[in-house]
Amino acid sequence: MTPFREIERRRKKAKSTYTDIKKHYVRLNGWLPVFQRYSRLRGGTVRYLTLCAKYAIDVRYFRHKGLLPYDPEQKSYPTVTFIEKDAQDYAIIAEGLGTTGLGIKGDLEEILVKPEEDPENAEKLRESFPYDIINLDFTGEVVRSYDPPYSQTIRAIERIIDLQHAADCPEWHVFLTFRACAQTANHEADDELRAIMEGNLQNAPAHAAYLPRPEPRELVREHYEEFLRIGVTKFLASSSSQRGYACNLENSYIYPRNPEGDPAYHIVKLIVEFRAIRKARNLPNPHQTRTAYEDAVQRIFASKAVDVSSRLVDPRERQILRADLRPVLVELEQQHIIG
Amino acid sequence: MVTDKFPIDVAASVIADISSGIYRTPAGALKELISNAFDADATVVHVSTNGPHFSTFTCSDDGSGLTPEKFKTVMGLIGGSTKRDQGESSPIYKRPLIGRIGIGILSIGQICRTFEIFSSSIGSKEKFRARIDLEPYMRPEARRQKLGRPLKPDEKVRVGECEIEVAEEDADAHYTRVVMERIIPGFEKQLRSRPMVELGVTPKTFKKGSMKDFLESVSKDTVSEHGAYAQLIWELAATAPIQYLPTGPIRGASELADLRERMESYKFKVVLDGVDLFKPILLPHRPTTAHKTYPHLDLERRLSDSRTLRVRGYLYWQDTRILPRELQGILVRVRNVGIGGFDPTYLGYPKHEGWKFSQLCGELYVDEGLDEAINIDRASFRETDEAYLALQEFLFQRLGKETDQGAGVFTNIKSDTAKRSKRKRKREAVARAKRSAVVIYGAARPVKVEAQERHTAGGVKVTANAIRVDKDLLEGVPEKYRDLFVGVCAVVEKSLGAIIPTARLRSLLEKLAKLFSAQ
Repeated sequence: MTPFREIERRRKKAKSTYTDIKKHYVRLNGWLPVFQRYSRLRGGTVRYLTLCAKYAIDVRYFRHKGLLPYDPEQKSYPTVTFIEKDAQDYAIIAEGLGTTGLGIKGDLEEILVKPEEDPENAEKLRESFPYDIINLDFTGEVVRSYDPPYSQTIRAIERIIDLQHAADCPEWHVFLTFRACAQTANHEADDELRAIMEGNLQNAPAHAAYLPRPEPRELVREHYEEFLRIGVTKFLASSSSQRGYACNLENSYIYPRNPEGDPAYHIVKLIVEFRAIRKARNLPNPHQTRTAYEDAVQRIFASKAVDVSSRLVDPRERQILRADLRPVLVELEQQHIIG
Repeated sequence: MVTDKFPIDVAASVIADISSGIYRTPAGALKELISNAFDADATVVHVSTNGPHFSTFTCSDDGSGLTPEKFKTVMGLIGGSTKRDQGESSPIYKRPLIGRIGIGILSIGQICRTFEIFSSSIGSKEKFRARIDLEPYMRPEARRQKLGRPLKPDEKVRVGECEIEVAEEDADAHYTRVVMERIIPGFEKQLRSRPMVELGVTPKTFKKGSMKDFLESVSKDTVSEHGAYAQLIWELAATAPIQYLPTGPIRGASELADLRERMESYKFKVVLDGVDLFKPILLPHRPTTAHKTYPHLDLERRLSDSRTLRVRGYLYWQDTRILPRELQGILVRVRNVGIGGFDPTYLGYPKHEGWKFSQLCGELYVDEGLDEAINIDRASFRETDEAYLALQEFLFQRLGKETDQGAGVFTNIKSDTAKRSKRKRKREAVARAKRSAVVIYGAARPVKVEAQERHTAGGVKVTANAIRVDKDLLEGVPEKYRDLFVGVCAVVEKSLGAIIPTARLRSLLEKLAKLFSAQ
């Protein structure tokens, strides 16, 4: 069990990030258009699963934008599911939002990977699928240094794809956020990702799309965040193609963080679209699976991440972002969640 | 990792009650947490039930909070509260303190077996997390073992284990937060009960943003038939020391303003699943309902054991049944907190008063003298306690007997009802006479008015659904008088048509047409 002092230290750090305009840049420019698309597609009923953390800024923000169903009289978000493992933060979210479709106090990864340890929550979560948008803000690494390369986080993501497929969801999006820190990375996992990447580069069109990046071995050293962005997205493409989905990296964002007393790292945010290539009841088609993966790899190699910091040099841009986030902060102040 | 483990002990005298679950309903258990927040000068308590799944409950307040040391003292000896040693009222808002014994914290054991408490006290730079596990001590075999062993008078018995950790916190932070997981299956199941599903009632049905809407939705029947969640809302709202709705409890009863002001002065709010709770009393539901308020059921009586019984209360009567049924009866509030629910027997009123019980309700605020009569479940009284007996006697007198304050309430209701019945009988006689007139003369009904091209001998023809007047008669009549003219023609034909010659009728109508034309 994590010591209370350590939990509190992390919570204190997280406290200062609610006004972070880098985060909000991605919300406004990356997440919002996806929400708008599903809102049109589903007639305003977007089904949303989030690891929203105690301020639940994403839930409040998309409600303010009229993109999440909300009943102001009943104080209810019927299509939102949130999951929070910290007891204090769970209470703040639950009390601040009112009623949600489902609220689970627990660890998403544990619930998905080890359902036998928390059968009640595992069953409730399983029943709640499918979702249109799944926001997985892991805040930490996808593969922590003490994990095996096939980490619990990775297995949890695979389980999510399985659940979406079992519920016959034809198209959906994942917003995936993770940390890229070369100093605290899992080198065994990095070696495996690099080997897979080198294998992909044997394919001429993929190699052409990859250029002018340095060779994977160099990329790990020089641009670890870019290496991880490509590596993790490729894992999603591979895993989803075997589970009945074609994967498309719509957008990706990178920005640096320099915490006091801790090593510097980058935050990587991916916006990934999944489209069904077969229904849950159909047999897997190896040719379809391979084509879906190879197409995805080429697109991933051709993609380029948005450097968020460079977009925020203009003070007018920062002003726009602050103004856009303001209603959410006012609401949090009114609820005495921030102040 | 700074972890400090210590045993939780209780005085032997309460172990049997605690082990078997001291509160009648889960709402009773939550009420205890709310009472603790009230005593801690909190201004708002947020309760979240995680409906419609009900798998995790939380209760957070912004009260003065606890230091780790204070918490250890409280948990170290359940039932050994020293809360009232420092005075009878809370330091900031001067609220009369509710807690007395110090077993409120164990009420959570009725909802779940393991829970976490987070708290920080004003001025302290520390906060703590306490994990409490009652599970090993709640198993049937454990209970038997403990209870089967003879206990010495002052012996302590272990009922749970607590693990506490401390971390840094801002000095001005003050709160207490309880997170209850793994809700007892029976309770969770009850809240998701079938009646709610069958009635098409979900928790959200009752969450229309205000207690007024909630009252509307339950005022046609009983609260209980809407399921356990409705019952939970009802019990919390009825018993917690919270405010009345703006015009409650009785619309237009200015004599009860002091009660409203009293609750407002405590500045205390409970929010359940995002919705503000108010006392669910707002009578009459329809402004047209005949009703009467007896606003002063006040008593100050010295008891033989030097206690003083001080009561401020009221009764309300209306000439139809009071609904929901849970509102019928008298609610005794000790230090502003309801003890049990509305008692439909009026503390065991000995006479049979039939339907009158269903038309009556009231509240008795007992500010002094009755604490010791409250049973450990805080939902009933020791009925042999002198203060309780005095309260019972006072209520029975006000209800039934003639006193120096006038006739008893039931006598008053009887005479009022007799007067109302007399007036009702008179109204019914008038209505009957009207109905007879309709039978004799026929009821008015819409008819068509038509101008007929063809010249007729009489000039007008009246049938069951039409009046036809010759066009030449109508021609000179101004448009605005035509309906009136046609009506007059019909009346003339119906009253004279059978007794005068047709030609005469026609000339009469022509004269009338000239009169109308001259207008």
